[in-house]
Amino acid sequence: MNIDNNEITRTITQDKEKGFRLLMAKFSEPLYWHIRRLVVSHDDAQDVEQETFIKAYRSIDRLDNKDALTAWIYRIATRQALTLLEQNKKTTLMSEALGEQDAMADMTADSYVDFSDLEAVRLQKAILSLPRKQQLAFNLRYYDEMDYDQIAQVAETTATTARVNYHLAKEKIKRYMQQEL
Amino acid sequence: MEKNFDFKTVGKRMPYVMPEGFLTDMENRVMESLEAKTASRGKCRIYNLFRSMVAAAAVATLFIVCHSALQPRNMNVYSDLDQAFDNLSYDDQQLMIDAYDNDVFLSDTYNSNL
Repeated sequence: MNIDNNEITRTITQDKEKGFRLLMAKFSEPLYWHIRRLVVSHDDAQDVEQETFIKAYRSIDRLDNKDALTAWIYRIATRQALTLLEQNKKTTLMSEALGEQDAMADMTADSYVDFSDLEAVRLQKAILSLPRKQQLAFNLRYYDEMDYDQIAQVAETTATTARVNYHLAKEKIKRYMQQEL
Repeated sequence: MEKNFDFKTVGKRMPYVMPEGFLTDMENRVMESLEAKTASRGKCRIYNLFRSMVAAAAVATLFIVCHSALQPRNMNVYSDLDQAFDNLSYDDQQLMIDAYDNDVFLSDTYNSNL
């Protein structure tokens, strides 16, 4: 849903619940996909997204920079997703070899995956084999079309690091996909 | 010949599927969860208030009991004897007075004649 961030922050100031509903209307879907790309499992993504919005509702009054609403909500979602992955003791993002096996295991176990699109499956395998920071930078740039400053705010790093991570990720994915061809 | 991979061939396609109605359910779930958490926080506040009141009442009771226990006992024996004498019947009181009068050690009549 195409709602202006300024309208959301203005509405929150006047009517918190109404503004929060606008926030959910705008970000539910993109956040879901962002989380899903990290955690793979639909059930995990559902839990993480729900927790994300609950945390957002509690802390929205403390949002300092109203202009950074997108980066703020994505940052909460990313933290929640990574916390879940840590809790599940997944090694997906930590090593290339093991990560791919775990990612495929998660994908195979999940009933909300369409394996008929082989190229899409291969691309996700490639992304999931990357180190965490590269995966994040790539997803946020490629799928969410964020600029490097926004990626830096979400990933809690610098714009330069975000740029480097994105390009490294892109090269690794290309090599991976070319091997599979 | 090695084929070069082009991101445009796959674009933003993903193999992940979102169940139908998920986003509407998500909004409802979040609002229900927030309402539940607010209600439980309210109940928690009432419970904590009740606990505080019970604790305050316990402290006050303890204070009263200790205060009473630490008060000095009334050593006025005579008032107890007067009360005991008053509780006797008239005949018994007269009997005690007569005995007092005839006692060689206690009676003023005998002592005044010495």
